[in-house]
Amino acid sequence: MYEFKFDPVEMHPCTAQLRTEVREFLRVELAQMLPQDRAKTWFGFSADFSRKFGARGWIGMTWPKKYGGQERSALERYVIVEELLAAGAPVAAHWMADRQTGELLLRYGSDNAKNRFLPAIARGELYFCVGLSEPVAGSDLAAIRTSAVRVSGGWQVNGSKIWTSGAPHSHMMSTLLRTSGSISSRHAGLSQLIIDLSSPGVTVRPITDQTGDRHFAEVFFTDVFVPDDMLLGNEGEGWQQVNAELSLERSGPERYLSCYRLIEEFVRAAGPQASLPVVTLVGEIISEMWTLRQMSTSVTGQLSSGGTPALEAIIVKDLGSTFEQSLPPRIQAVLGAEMPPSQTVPLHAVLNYLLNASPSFSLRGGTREILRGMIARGLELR
Amino acid sequence: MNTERMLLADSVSRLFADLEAGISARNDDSALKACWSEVDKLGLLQTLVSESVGGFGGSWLDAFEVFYRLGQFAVPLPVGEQVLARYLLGVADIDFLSGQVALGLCENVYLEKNIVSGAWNFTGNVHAKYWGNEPRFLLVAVSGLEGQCFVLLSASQATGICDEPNLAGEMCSNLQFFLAPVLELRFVEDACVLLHNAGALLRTAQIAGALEAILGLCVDHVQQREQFGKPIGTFQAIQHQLALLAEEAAAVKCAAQSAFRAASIGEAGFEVAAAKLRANRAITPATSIAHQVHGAIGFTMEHSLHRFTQRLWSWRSDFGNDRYWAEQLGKLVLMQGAEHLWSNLIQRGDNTNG
Repeated sequence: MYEFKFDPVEMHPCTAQLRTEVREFLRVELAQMLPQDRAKTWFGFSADFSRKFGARGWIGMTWPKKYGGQERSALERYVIVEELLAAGAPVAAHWMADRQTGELLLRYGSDNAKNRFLPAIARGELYFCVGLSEPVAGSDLAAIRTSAVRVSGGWQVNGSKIWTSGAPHSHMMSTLLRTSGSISSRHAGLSQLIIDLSSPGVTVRPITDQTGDRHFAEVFFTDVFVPDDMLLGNEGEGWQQVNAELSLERSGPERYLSCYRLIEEFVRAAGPQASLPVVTLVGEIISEMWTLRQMSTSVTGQLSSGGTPALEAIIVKDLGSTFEQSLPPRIQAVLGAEMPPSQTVPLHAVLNYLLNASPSFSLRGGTREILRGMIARGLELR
Repeated sequence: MNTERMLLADSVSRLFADLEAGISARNDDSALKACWSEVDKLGLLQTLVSESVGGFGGSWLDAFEVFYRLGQFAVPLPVGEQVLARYLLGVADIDFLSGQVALGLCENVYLEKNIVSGAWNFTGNVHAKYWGNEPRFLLVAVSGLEGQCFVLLSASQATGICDEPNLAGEMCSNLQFFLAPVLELRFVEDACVLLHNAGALLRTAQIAGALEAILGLCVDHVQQREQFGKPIGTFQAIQHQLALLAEEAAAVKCAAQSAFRAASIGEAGFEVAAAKLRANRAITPATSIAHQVHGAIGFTMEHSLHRFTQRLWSWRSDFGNDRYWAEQLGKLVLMQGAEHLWSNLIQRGDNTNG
């Protein structure tokens, strides 16, 4: 029987200083930002913000110094990320590379790729997206059809990716594709290539989502040439690499803070004289959010000390996204006469945006159904 | 976990595993008596009693390991309550007495001081969980005009006793007192809060342990029970239900551990509220799933599932139900205001994290 491990972590005292610094930076930089824009959290884009943030040394901060990093701990990065999300900073430009592509490059990238990309990512100037889903391959990722064939000095790529977050503003895509075998070989024969989205033969067609934003896109590849040193790791091992990469993105604070802006605006609108249903809902929300933060920091602490809390990380993601997805309707349900719309303009703007955005919370980075299947596997049911 | 705590955890697990037959028997007094004497022999009742007066000198983190296992094994004895009573006697600086000390919750209390002798008399109702027929003492916390105090009563002074077993058939009683002389009375700041929060911590850990136990029962059952020619655990509908149960068990364990850690460092009112509420709110989904996947067998007295689910339903009301803690926590957060919401939450977490 699996025994869950959620021992509380020791936050190093130096994180308090770091937290103060980043809060002050955000206070100044985001002073003019509206609540409904802050509500976009990691889908809000600002090239200017990412450049200034990178200049402070807060992108890629766990990486080696020779690649533009600061060699700081995973818990220090955690502090930075949760402050960014709580403040609603527009982090989309550097988000994917900072969270996962950087680690992937450090582990599997060629020397050229590491030298060329990592320092530029850390400066907040080079943006990555992650190309996984295809028109016929969503949860069944092994069904992807985009393929690369060997040509002199590299690979020639044909196919397409869809619903790729951040593709319209990204320079590069880390792309899962088939380099050998056929669709029936499933997980075998998949590899990861870094594709320069400005290459000839690449077409990016933004897709408007139901919030009205155009943060994701369909990307077409027609005879696109990719040099040899843009292969990540070994040919044919892309599946294992992608799974290791996805496990990095499961338990972070972005898995329960997507509606933080709504909670804060709700608390503001409610005030100290709130009615009992409002008071108890606030209590319930805070109890869940505090628990999720404890779970999330515990997993980060275990990961950074060499542990493998795989099941715990998946649990944080499913619980976290279920929690954040539940917030817009729960809050909408208790708004009443004591909170007239005239006094709650920012709350309603944030609520409307998040009602629209929240269905995506349990889709991105692995659907709820896939995650629950993985938990069942952890319980040895499959 | 340090070595000493790990040893404690292991020996408690071993003790309750060995006593399984006695623990699971309903109303088997001799089995329970044997169980109680083993618990006493191991010194578990002294977990939170300082070493200087012969206790284990443990912290709340040690207590978690004991309390969690009380839930995990559905121990039908008020071990946790007596650990807390002995701990609070220490806080109140009342000398340790031999015999059982039950933790009592009181209502309609009237404390009266005899002007001539200076002695206190206690009038009111006390609700307590106890076991056995030994002469026993009751520790209660009272909020009076002169402040909050701990009061030690002798059960033999009760004018009436009404047995009110809980949902799981555990013995609880309602004792009525009328101008009963108190054995000890000590004014302690926030005595009522100390007692209530300690009780909530105990229940939170027990709930965490019981949830882990029913997850284990469910996993075993769906691997063995076959329908349509295969184990029902191979059906996705069942797998996803157990995934949800696992998530609830994981969340409550984390919340409980975090609250005990906060209590081991200092004032932990926020964490106790958040953790007990989180634990309470896991009980409905968890017990519904557990009963559903077990089918009819889980609804019988011969199967052990009810030992856990009945306790969980009972514990949800003890030391603050959902509404109580949600209101406490909601008020606290709304009083502090939106500007401090995030920074207070982080400060609480980082304090917890040492």
